[in-house]
Amino acid sequence: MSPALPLTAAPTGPSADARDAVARLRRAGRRRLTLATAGLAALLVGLVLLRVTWGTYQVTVPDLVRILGGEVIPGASFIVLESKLPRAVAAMLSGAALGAAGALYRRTLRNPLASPDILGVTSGAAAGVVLLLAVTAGQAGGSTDLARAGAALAGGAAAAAAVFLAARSIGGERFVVAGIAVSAAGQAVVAGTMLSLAQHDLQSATVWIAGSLNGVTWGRIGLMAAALAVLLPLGAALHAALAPADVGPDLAHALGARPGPTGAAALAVGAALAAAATAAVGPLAFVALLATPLARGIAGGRPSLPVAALTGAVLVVLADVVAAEAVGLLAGGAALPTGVLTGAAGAPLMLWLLLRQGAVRAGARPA
Amino acid sequence: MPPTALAAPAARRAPARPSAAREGVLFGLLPLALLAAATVAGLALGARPVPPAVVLDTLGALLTGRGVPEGIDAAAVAARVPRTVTATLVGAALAVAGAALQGATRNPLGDPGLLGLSAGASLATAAGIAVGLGGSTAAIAGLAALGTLAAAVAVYAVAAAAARAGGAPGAPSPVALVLAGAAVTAGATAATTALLVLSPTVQDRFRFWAIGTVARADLGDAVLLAPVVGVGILLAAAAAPGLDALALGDDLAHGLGRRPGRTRAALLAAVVLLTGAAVALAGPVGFVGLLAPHALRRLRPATARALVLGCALWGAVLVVLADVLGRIVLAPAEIHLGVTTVVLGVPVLLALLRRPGVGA
Repeated sequence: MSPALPLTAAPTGPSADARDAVARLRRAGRRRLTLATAGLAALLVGLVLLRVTWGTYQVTVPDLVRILGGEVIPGASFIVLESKLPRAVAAMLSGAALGAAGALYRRTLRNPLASPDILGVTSGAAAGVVLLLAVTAGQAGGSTDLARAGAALAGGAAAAAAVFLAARSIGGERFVVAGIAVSAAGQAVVAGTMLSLAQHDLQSATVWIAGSLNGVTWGRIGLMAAALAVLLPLGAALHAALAPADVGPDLAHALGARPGPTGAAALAVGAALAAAATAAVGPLAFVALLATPLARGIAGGRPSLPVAALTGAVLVVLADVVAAEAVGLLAGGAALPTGVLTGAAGAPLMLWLLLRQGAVRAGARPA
Repeated sequence: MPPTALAAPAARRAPARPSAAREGVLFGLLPLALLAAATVAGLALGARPVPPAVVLDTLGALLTGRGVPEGIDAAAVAARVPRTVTATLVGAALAVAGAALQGATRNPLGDPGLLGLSAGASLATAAGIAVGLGGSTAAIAGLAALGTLAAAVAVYAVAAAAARAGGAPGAPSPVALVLAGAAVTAGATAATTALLVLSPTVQDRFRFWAIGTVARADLGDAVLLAPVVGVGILLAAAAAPGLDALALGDDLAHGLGRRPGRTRAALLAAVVLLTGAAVALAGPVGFVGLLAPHALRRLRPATARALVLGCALWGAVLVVLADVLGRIVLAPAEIHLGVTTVVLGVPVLLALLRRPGVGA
């Protein structure tokens, strides 16, 4: 959009000084956004490099380059290509998906606590996957990665639909509490179904359910990457189209936007993104909730889907470095599921968001 | 309508005072009879159904100290005694804790699980076991009570601070409490999982306990903690008359000669005792504290004391039946108690959200 247009339209418009000041401010805002994007991208590259090279098994950068170039170094090649690299890529992609999903929910529902993980989408997706595992337990071959992703999507969509039906409207506190209830139901389904799994499936499901990058495979990463290639541009377009909704539904209508249908589409894309990430790496607690306010802070208060996605990716790669390698160095070889770390870090942040009163003040208003 | 709806039934039905007989039947005799029936069902049903005659026979033999009679059926009944007794205690404790929480915070969404108290109790227990304090059941119950108290204080402080920051000082809104409870639950669960992964000792003790269950109940533990549950229920019942006044708001309660601070302190103590004991016995069992009091308010108790005592009996019936249900749906496999109560409780919570004064 052109900043000069509305200002020159009025004959008794503001002076050239004021116009310059506004233009300067807008330039500064855009510069901050570009800087934030570039800075986060650089940080992400650095963290991925750290994740692949550093840890209980160290790989030097020249060796890494040779391995990626196709050379086979006994031992190192296997560890990099089958463990370290897939984990780093999966962390990056799932973090980006969750960050983008959080930004879409935040903008549509205009509530800092409304993220796919609080609203039960991730636990619904987890319930879908565990139910699939239970159903296919006896069959030869078990479940394919594609069926897993489909089950996660169906579970996430069912949870989102249940929340909508219970709360009857988008937004508001009722919506958040309905999400908490649906989330509890999803977790109960997961816990109940896990008991009927055979020992082999149970072990892989237990790791996956805590939100872990341990069991990730290139097949699952490929599926997630394909889903993201479609969903991320779509989400970015919807996120931009929802910009007028930031000033409230009435004003948005007056500005010619259609927040209702666009918002519903944004929530659907957000749920699909969260389900895609959950199918690949399990329910990573709080990433979607954490990424959005952090991204806003980094970008100087401007909501931006790419910045949120990059923030999510940085968070998950960082959490994975700490959970898998740093804890291991400190506590003698032990490793935490990545989801445990994001959950522990996310709880204080959620309390802080509560204290920041936006949500609660909205709750005190009559419906 | 006051948020707790504790005083509401009396107001709606002003002309006809309920007869004491009706109260006695609905909140005393009927649930007692049902509890007896549920206990027999709990002992008879399961992977191996046992005829009621054998159940009564075995029960009589056990109660008169003659030992377990011969036969597989009698052995099955004897094996189901600890879990049925534990389910009774857990149900009574959690239902009364829910009623006390709802009254003390004037919040219809009060439930030890929903407000993060059970998760706090679990974390404290896991931490205690990790540092080697979990030797005895009494120690575990003490840790669970401490964790409950810490979680209650944290949740209430955050929700009250949020209400102040939002320009509405006073009692925090139900939704603010639930959100703070969800945050505390998430953090405590993550920390508990971390302890589980890092400490083999904790994992060994906790493996079957992360979701609420009475499948591994022990009769000795139940007998040990039964007095704690009893004291908690009596404390809540003693403080209950203050609840009727509390429902009118602190100022009016003062005007009526009540002391809201003292009532709240007594209720909180009851909640801590009851939740601590319930978590120590069965792990986190959700939504019982929500289900029982709300269902009972439909029966219109005349006083809060009738509600509290009714909750103790009806809560026990609910949990014993939920345990039986979990055993027969997928027999010979079991659905754990914590799963059954959540599946039963979520629709109730969603229905409650539609009430005026609860949600937005």
